[in-house]
Amino acid sequence: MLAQQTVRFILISLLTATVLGAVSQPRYKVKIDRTVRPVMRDGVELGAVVVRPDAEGQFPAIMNYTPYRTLSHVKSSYDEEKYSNTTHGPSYFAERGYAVVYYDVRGTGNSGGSSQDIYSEKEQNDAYDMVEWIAAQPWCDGGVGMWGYSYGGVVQWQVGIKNPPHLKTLVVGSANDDVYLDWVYPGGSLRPYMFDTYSPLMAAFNFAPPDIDLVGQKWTEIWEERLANNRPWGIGYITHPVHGSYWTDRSLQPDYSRVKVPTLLWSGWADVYPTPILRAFANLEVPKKVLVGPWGHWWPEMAVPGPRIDGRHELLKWYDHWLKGMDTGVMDEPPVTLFVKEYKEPEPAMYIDDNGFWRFENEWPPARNENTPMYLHADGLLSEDTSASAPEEADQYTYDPTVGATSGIYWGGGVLPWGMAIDQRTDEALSLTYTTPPLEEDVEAIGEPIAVLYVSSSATSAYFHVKLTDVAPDGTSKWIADEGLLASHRNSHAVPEPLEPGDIYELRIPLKFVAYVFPKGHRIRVDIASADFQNAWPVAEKAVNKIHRGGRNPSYIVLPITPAQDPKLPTPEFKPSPRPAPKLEDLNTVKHEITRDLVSDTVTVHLMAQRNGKSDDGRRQTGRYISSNYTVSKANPAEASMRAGCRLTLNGPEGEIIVESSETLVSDITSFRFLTQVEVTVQGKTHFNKSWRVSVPRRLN
Amino acid sequence: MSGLAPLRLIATVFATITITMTTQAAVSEAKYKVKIIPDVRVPMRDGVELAVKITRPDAEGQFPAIMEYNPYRRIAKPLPDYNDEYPPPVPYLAERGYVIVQFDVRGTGNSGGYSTDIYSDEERQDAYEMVEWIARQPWCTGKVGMLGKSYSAVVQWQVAVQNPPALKAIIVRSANHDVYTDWTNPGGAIRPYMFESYGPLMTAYNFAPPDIDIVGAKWSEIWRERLDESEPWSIGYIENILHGPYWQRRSLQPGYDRVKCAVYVVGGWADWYATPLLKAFSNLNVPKKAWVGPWGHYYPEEKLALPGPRVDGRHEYLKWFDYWLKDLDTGVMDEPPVTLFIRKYKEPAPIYLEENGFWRNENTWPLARANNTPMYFQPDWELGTEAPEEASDTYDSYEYHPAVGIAAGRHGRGNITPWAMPLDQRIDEAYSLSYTTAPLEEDTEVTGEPEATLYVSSSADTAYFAVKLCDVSPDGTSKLVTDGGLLATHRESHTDPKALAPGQVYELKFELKSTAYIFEKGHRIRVNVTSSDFQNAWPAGKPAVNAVYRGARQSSHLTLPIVPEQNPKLPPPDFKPSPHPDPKLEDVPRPEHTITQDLVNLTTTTSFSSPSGTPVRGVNRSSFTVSHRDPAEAVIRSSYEFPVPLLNSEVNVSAQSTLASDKAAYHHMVEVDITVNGMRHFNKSWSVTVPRKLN
Repeated sequence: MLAQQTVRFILISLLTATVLGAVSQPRYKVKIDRTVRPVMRDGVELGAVVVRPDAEGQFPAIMNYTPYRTLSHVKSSYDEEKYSNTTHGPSYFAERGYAVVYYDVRGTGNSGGSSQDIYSEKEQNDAYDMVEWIAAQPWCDGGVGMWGYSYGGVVQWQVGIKNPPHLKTLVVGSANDDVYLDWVYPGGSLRPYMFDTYSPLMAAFNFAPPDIDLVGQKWTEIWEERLANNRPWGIGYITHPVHGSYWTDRSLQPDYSRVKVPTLLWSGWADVYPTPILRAFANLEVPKKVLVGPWGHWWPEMAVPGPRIDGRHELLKWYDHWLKGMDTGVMDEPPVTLFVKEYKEPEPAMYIDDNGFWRFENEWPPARNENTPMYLHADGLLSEDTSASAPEEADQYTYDPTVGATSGIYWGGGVLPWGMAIDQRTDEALSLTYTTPPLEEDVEAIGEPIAVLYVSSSATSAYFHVKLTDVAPDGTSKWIADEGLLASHRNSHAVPEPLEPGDIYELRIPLKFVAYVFPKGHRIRVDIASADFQNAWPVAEKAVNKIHRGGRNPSYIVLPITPAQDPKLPTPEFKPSPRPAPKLEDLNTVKHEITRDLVSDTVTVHLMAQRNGKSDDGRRQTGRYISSNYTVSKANPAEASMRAGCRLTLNGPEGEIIVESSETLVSDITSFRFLTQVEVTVQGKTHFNKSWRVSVPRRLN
Repeated sequence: MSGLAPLRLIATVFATITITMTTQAAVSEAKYKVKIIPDVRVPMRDGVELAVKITRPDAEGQFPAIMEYNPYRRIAKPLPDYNDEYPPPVPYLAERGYVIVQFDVRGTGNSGGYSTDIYSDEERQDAYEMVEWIARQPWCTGKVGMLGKSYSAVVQWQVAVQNPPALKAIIVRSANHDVYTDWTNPGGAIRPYMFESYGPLMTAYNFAPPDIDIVGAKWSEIWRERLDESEPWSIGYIENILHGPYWQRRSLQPGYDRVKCAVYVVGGWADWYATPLLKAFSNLNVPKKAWVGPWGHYYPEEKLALPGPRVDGRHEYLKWFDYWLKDLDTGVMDEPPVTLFIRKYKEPAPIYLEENGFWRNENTWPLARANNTPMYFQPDWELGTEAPEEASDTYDSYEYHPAVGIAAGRHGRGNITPWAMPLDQRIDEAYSLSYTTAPLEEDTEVTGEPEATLYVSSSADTAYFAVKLCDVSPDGTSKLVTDGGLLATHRESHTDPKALAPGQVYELKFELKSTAYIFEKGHRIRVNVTSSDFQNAWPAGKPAVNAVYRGARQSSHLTLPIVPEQNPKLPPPDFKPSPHPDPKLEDVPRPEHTITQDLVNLTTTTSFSSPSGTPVRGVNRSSFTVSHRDPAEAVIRSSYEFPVPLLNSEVNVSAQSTLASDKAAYHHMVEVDITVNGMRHFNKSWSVTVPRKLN
């Protein structure tokens, strides 16, 4: 009886697959080899782990690499895996006939060699070599795809544009397409996250030893080379404050046509990169598809905010099509899948589930959009009525470097899933705001808002930050999108030019992309200020800034207003996430505190994030503790400081190893000064201690 | 030879002064050397001995006396230079023929006995006895005055209403006239300062040993009695969370007629009590004088009397006492009776060295020529003199957010003085209703007692309403000029709170703190209404959406005393300059004072600690946390660490205090821990719970 039912079920499944598009079924046991060490062109050995079907034959391969010390965490069964940002489901694909290869960037994790800069040229060459090495393995059928998100997404552009012959497809999760603008210096201003979290974290990671269980007797040699030759990546960030070859060598922009292989892109609205993901999608000239969910910086199975989905299935449809030549139907679907958000009261932590709905679109941005200029008028009014015939006037404000307390830290930075934008009214008290009357109907905006501001300043340099918010009837002002621009970067991010005090300049500030429904009865608001200190290092010069409006200087924002789909596309359907909904407490232990010092008139952001873990056998206790204090001065905007550190606790062969980075970035009117120090102790005794110091002149930033 | 020259010089000076005295109103000259007797002990009716310090002319004869007392452990060995004795009028007046008698409250400092409550019945009776004891002394003319600031000022009302026959005149520098509403529970809400600072401070002080150099062998017995019998005063504050006899007995209000001596009140706009001093001045039926400067909680002649301008107040006290105690015609009663510092706009900052403004004499308080002008809350967030015509049920509503008040500063500067001045109000206005006038077409002076008339409703049965009057400069900065607040449940009385019926509209009328301020042409006048001012008022316990009505019959407004120019103009006051050079910012000790928003737990915490490097008087630390999610949950944790040298030992008196509220009650815990050379010597704790009473 039971057997009959099972047979019938399988038959039905097969039937369905034929009709709807087949995907590979789980039919293989999984074999995992953690001690693979491919040799690069200069002799450096990389640490790799291969997860593949435990069967004879040749399979397509999927490659991923990062510097995040992940090899030990890759599991041979999906169910065994604790949720991890980086080791998502290799076993799922191995069961379905793929060989999944993870490796560590040279100079990191279990690889040999050294690393002085993020995304170094050697690292990029290694990736090319690795694609070709994988293709040459006896278990590989010669087709190699990539996957990964964040670091593992950005590097796919770097590999993609090199076009190694055996690379067949990319699946780029949450990646920037311009490392300078999207990540390190948005709008030309240093992102504090780079120094409150990322730089100290990577400094500690990159001076930590490899895993002795994986590298065996090479352990000492690998670690010693690393200690001797590695350099904290933060030095590269701070010594390249303007755009140029350092950053373009690492970025997809501006020449998207260099990518020749089909690409699936995905990200989440609460993540760091929905905008560059959609921008890259729109610009790529290859078979392509994009999925943007409500998620933060996680895989879709475990992300907050939900709703979560089984993203593996979406990837499988893609790989089966492009690496196995199966007709999964994936290319018959509309190419753009979006989660369109709706109002939900702001909270400092990501919602477990956001409000909104899934929507297919045929292109990004929707071709039917009505890009509608909304003009800044007197008395704080925002309106579609042109201000060209209104008198030329200006609203002015004093630059206050402490504005941005309610902005949160974009995507949560080092404290995700906390750090979200809260009710904006406190910041708005120190901003210019322009608000529409209550909306008479729902207004859907899916696309690319852009602010066009006519500005002048009493200083030679000023930052202009624009927020788009949704004002609920109770007065709550919800952050929808923002962006800022250093006015000295108005013509180029490579060659800053001073402002002539008092002169009026047109600034075009593209905001982050949106897919949001402003509900009837709510109001649309634009906030303008000259600081967003949690996301942009404050400009040095004190200033009184003006936003001009009316006449020849009619500042406005273009809102992509999206009419209803006609005809309506079907609603996307997903397999549900295989995991239970996460709890915020399980995701991270953090502190995010903003302190106003009422004696020194400064504002300090204190962050702390702590994770503890154990190795599979329970022997190796690992810990990670990052904390920072970032202070800006109301009285003296030039004087800002960041003090941050990361401590890793590892169990080495001879006892506890602590790798601790301590970094200080301070600015004054003339320069940025960066001090970074790494200290390693083994069983409480200092094993290594080194510090680096750089000073970089301010360049109108 | 060397001893003779100075004598000749003094003789010359005397000659010159004599001439001056005949031509102008006379004041006593500095003609006495000063002698300090720090260890006098005066027994009270019940045998308790009070520690008395006498600072007097080193000469035979009879002198009028000035009495001062407080519990602040001021009776101590004389300083090397008597000019450094505190307060500054003490040596100054002694040189000019007064005997200054200072004593420690019973149970405190070097006095015997014990103390269980602030301003206790016994303490007040002691003061009466001390006045009469002083008058009987052979060196006394029989005329006694009082002088003092803060505690030493409040007690002057308490002595004056008992009318000891010898008491002739007082100088009240910084006193409330209603201990409950002016100090511990303004508007009916607990003032956090009482538990952040004053509670643990006085607990530590009152359990500390006396000074062996002053009391000698009795120190052990005095300390033991104190340790056995004294109680933390803060227990009295929390147990008397409503107005009533406990506070009435300690307060001047409402029986002003009980005072029969001449009264000189001296206040500061940045200090605690300008308002009650002016209120007392206008209500007293005795010879009187009022002077309000720009200062915080300082004598105007102190070096760090901030904000300035500073003047030599000692000369003013001398004119007063010479007139009332020595019968000298100093002209003091011919001067206009009211002297005010009129403030003008100055950009808000955490500390001011100098205020912006000028001195002016007036004949009355409040000013007779003031036009009390209602400023109505109007549509579109406007404020104006035109009464509304809209329907009566027009209202603006807002959600009660218990952490509004970040920019309010500390009233009276708390213990962070002279810091904690109010800042730009805009970040608080984000969570307030704000009504603003058009830019003013001319300078507009508001001097007097602004009054708020609010028509309010709440979704809860209790709510607090805070009103701020602000000056909005053309650059948008909103400067706090004055404010006030009221727990709506105290609308009829502070003794018997009445619940609000949710949704029902109530009229609330309350005065804001008095002010004297010129709104400049081009600036705008703004009124903010919200339901918390957490640095100055414990948050009300219920989540609420509150509404302020502004229709025709429920026309919420602020009544501003708008003052035309003086006509005829009175001459400006002519002060002697401060004896000190102007202070620099580096001269001012820097405390820690922060406000932290915890974005994970959704709380706001204000913390402070005393400036480091001044451990002589101890170190106060405190943190006060309010919850955004549940306004009922608030907590102050505070401490006072007081090291006291005793013989060759180090005594440390540590007071720990907690005040925590939940929906149902306030819980107050106090612990005293005393160590001698690091070893525990004494430990005692107290715990009280009082139910919330719609507060």
